[in-house]
Amino acid sequence: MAKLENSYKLTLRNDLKELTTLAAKLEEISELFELGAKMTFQINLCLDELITNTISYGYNDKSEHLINIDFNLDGNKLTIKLIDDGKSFNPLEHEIVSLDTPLEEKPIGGLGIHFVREMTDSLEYTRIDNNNILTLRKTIERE
Amino acid sequence: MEIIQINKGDALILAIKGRLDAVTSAELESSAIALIDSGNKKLILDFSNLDYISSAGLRVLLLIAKKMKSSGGSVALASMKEFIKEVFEISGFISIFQIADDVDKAVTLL
Repeated sequence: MAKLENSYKLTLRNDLKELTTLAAKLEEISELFELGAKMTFQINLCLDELITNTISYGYNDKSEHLINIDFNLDGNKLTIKLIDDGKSFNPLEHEIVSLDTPLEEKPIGGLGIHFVREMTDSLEYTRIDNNNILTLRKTIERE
Repeated sequence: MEIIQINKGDALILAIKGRLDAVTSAELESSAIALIDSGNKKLILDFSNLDYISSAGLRVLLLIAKKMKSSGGSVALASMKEFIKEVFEISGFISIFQIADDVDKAVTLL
């Protein structure tokens, strides 16, 4: 794991237990980048949702896979690249969830991507060499 | 995540401590469903020590609410932290749950 001044690389395995590692590492990144509690919570939520999707639905086999997350901070602009070798999946093509449906008819799922859309400035998807690369950009509001 | 059970009159309070994500929410699901099955009609989820919730956690809350509704009972949520409340707002879940500032107020909602 390389740690530079304004960048941080994190590698997780395709195991939901890694969500705990993600949360712990984000505390470190939060201190390093001085993100504050609110931004850290939002970044954790976005990455949790995307990684949970990838781990749960992204692989056709039962082998171990690695998910790479690159963090880069430039002033108050945070860029996160999420790279996995799962099947091709563009979350931006995911159906936008309707929040007005009554409780009984509310579909489960789709909410995760909704959070990511709401909590980032922009999202960009590319598929290169059998990898999904999702770039999240977020302006850090410091308290 | 840790779940603490407290009885307050005819209401059952579940205080959730820690994080509700894709790993931990299954535990809340099974405890709450068992408690509803055993006849509890008034359930309060105390979030004063809940630090984190994802859509997997919301999914379980929705299941609990549906299950409670079909068994003729009701659920209220109490003492949500600011960031957790924001997740409820963005998801629209804020309008489908009874939410109170503290447990005492939640009891009066049921």
